[in-house]
Amino acid sequence: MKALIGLVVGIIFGYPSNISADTKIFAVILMAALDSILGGFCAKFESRFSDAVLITGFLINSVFGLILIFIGNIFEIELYYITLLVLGLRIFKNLSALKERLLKNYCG
Amino acid sequence: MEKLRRIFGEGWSITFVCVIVGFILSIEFRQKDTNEENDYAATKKIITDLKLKACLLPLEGQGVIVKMDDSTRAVSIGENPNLYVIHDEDILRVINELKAAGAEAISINGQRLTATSEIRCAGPTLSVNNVRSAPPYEISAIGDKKTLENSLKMRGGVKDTLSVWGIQLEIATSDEIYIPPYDGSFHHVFAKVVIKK
Repeated sequence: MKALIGLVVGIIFGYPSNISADTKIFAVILMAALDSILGGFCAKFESRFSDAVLITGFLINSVFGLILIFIGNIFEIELYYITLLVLGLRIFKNLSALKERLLKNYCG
Repeated sequence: MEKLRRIFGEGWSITFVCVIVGFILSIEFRQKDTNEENDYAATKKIITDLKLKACLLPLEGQGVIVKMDDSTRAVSIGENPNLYVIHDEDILRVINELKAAGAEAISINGQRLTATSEIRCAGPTLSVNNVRSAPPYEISAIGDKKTLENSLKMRGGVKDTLSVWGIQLEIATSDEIYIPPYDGSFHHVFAKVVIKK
């Protein structure tokens, strides 16, 4: 519920703003955020959830992703694919873990 | 951390991250929209501009219509009747004068003059863009109508010179002159585009 409210608040603030930046940056931050959210839900079901772990994980992932973009831009290599790939893998891993947990909880 | 937890409760970090997700999604959505629109509009503008320069668009605006016809003067014996007939040179002089006066688009009997259009005598007729037409010739030109008219009516100018031979030159100004586009094809067999390195 809180997550949905957050999403709506973000859209409300984001829509009228006129920020324009490299799409790579948005992609990396978006992937880091999705990874954190799914990881957070996963951790909640395993009751080892911690706000500090989640927020630091998100910040460090995004910052390192941005550093990779920066380095990639200097050498003209598409390094940010690495970030997207790894975060994507983690998202699907978390998703499957979440599914397993839900199956165990509700289908015995 | 504790402060945030007290204000927003357990799980504030997920809310925070969700705010960022929503923010980015909406920004991206906007950016995608405007980018596509801008690209489309810019490309369309370039194409229209190029078509205009290649004489492929119909145009209208103020300008002059010049009607030229062969001389009505009776040819006396022993005189060369060729002198009293409109030749390509006469048309070229008029066209040249119009161009010098800043004509932006010119057509002869409905044939748009392009960069490679020829104006050439073909027997008693005139060939423009490989289309032949007979007198009277109607030359339309878009530009500043006063300047165009004055350039032809100049003392000792084209009109004076041609009137010596009795060639009729009627100049009419108008605010709505229509000039058709070039409807032929372009051939570039020998010319190669130079790509600068």
